[in-house]
Amino acid sequence: MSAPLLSHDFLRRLDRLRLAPNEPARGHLKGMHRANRTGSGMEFADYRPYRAGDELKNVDWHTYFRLDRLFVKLFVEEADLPIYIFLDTSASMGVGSPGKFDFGRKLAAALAHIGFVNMDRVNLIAMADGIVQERSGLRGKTQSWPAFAFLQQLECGGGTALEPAFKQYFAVPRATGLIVVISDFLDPAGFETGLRVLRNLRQDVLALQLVSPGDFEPAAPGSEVVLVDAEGNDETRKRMTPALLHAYRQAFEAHSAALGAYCARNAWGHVRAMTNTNIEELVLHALRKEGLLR
Amino acid sequence: MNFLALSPLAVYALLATVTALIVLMYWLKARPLRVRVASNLIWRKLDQVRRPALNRWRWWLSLMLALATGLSIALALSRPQAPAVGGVAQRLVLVLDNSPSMAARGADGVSRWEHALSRARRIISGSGLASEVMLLDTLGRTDTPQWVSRDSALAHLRRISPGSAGNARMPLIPADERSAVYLLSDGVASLDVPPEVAIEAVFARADNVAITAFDARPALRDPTRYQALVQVFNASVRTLQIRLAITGGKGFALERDLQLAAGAIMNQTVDVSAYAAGVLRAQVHAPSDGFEFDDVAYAVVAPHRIRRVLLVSAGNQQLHASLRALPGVALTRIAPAQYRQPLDYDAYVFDRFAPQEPPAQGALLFRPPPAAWLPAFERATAHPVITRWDQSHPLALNVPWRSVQMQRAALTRIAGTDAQTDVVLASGAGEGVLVAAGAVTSSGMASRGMTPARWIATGFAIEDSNFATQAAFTVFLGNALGWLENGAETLNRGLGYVEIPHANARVTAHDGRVLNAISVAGMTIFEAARPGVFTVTAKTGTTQVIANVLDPLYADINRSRFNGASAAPAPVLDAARFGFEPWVALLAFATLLLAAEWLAYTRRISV
Repeated sequence: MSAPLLSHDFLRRLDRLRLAPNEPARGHLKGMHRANRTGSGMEFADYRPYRAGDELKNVDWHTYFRLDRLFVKLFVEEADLPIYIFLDTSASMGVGSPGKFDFGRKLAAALAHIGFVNMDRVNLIAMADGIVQERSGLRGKTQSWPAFAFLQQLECGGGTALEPAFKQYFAVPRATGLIVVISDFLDPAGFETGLRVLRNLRQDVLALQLVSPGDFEPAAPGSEVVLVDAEGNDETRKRMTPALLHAYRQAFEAHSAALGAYCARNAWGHVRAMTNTNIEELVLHALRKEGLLR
Repeated sequence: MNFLALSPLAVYALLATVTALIVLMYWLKARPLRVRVASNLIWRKLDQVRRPALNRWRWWLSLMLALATGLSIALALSRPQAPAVGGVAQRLVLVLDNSPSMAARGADGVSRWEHALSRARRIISGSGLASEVMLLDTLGRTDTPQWVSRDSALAHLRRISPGSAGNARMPLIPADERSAVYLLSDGVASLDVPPEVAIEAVFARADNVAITAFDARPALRDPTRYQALVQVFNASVRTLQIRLAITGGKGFALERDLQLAAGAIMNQTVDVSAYAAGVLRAQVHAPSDGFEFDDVAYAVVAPHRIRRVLLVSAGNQQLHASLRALPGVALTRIAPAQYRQPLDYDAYVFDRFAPQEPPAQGALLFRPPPAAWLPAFERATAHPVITRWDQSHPLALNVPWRSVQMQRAALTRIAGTDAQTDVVLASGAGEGVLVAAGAVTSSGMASRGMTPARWIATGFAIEDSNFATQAAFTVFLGNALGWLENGAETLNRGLGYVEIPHANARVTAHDGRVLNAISVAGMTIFEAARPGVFTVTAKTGTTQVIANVLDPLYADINRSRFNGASAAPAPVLDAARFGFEPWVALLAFATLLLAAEWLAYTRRISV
């Protein structure tokens, strides 16, 4: 039996968190996120004149005694949040140490657990150059372990193609929610094409970019190497001069910066996570600090 | 293209091998590490900026640099010949005539030898840088001949100089068809020049005035008077004003101004009676004299006084008359029965008589009876023939011994038994000794602390030979009395190597310089490079050597076979355009390429 993705202690600490989407929740089920409609929540929203059929428990009797008119108190509806966690399972995620794929699975598990704790509807989607596997509509704390089992049985392989994967998944109508994309965003077609699909869906997006130390320094300085692309037969021969490595790191930083800028332009969240960082540290502090978790 | 180190086929094979090896090494170069990366997306973006197409060019550049470097070094090892760079490599044999006449200076003040050196340098410098040179000389003074490089030959040229004596001979030329042989000569020495030898004539007329004879003799009529005979030879091609100077010790000096036509010989007799005894030096001065070796000559003036001679003879008129005829001799004659010791005479002549005790002064004995201090002349022989004599011995000087005939004589054996005894004459019959000379070595003489008296003994009686009837008899008597009286033996020699029959002797020049000498087989050999007086001192005695040239042929430095006709000039060789061989340039080029490769590699230009 494989080792659990997350420790019990970490799960307990995750129980106190919830995702903080930019947009009000549009779930149809009772949840713990403010919806953009009034309903049976705990938070007072407004008054309206009593209409036949309204529940008497919502009538504000104090106002009636002062004004001699019946008003009903309206409360903010608390709905569930549809969460779509896209985990990149392309071959590029399996390169590097510590591995991005394993780190991504843990991150997805943590976010899913937070969703389950908050009664959100969690959809787990494994994607590569398309949808590989999915587990949709999971809700409730009891779904954590099935979700973890789903994540654990995933394997990485195939190329990265965000656009077809997103298009394939959202080809059917989906409730608007929070889309979490856990990927290295090394899409040969460019991450913009894939994210443009999400932008057109007007979804709230959280881009979690995973970077392994090997992505920064693929080979020792001074060595002559053939760089083999994990997702294809593409090879390139390089002498790892300090100048070339420096230029490569600059290009990589530019790539990350472009992703961050794209997300910022769309008011999306973007976090670049190094796989050699502690995932508990990342979830409990970094994501909270970024305002992505509360 | 020619190659000095390898055959052309081997060179081409070497180049092909080097090329193949280098290319193979590039192909077999350790394969680069294959690194699996997440994506080459970033690299492709980077390549668009950094021109990845240059990578292949960098590989080719690196290969080309390595090939050029390797081929340059391989080609350098083969020592290629490029006439445009290093000239044509040859084997040159330069025969330098270093006979004495080459020291003559012409009207330009430059000696023929210096002209020869200049020509030799031109020939050597004109050859290819890889040429090999063998230097030979006509006096055989060059060390073991060998092929040397141009630079070594040029350096060795400075160590050769013309000799003052010796027989010039054409040296043996190495039998090598590829060799070019040059003779640099003034044509004075008689050399047997092979036809294939190219002659570089360095003859230039030079003025030369020489002393061709010099001797000091007592006057015939008055032996107390001494005369010096000087023969001066003008070997120049024009009339010259000459100053003859004769000098001796204690301020003795005489000078005469002479005018001598070209080729003329003039005899001068100079009265040197005022010079008591010692070495006389004669020198000729001419303003334009270009040859120095023959300008000076030396002679010894013997003490010129009346010598008291005692003749002990039973009666020999010819001997008596001849002794009386000797200049400077006061003769006393007694019979053998009257002989008593001690007597006070400068020399004794015993005719068929020998005292039992040696006399206090030197003695000449004709056919002596046995005596303890003399070798025994006992082996009687009839009509002995003189087969050899010591031509250098003062006793044999100017005496035609071959014309001396004897009816009978007694012989003795000395050679090999007594190192103190000279063999002056020897007979062919069993190599018996006819005339011997020596010094008394009895213990009695030594105990009195006196210089051992000399003796001369002949194995024949005067009556038994025709010696007394010949004019040379008086000369012999004069030689004998002079030799008996002289403390030190004087030898006349020419220039060159002088052999003295004394082992481990010390040789000093007249100016006090100690000369290098070697001792071989009981002889001491030294070189008299210039005319002079040399004193040879050994345990066995002291010998004075006078070295003179005194040779008209030696002085005749203008009798060149090249006189008036210039010899064919040596062919002009292909001079090296640069001062280095192509292999040097190739190595320098390879070094530059290595530096370029290092620079390109460190600058990431090459792989």
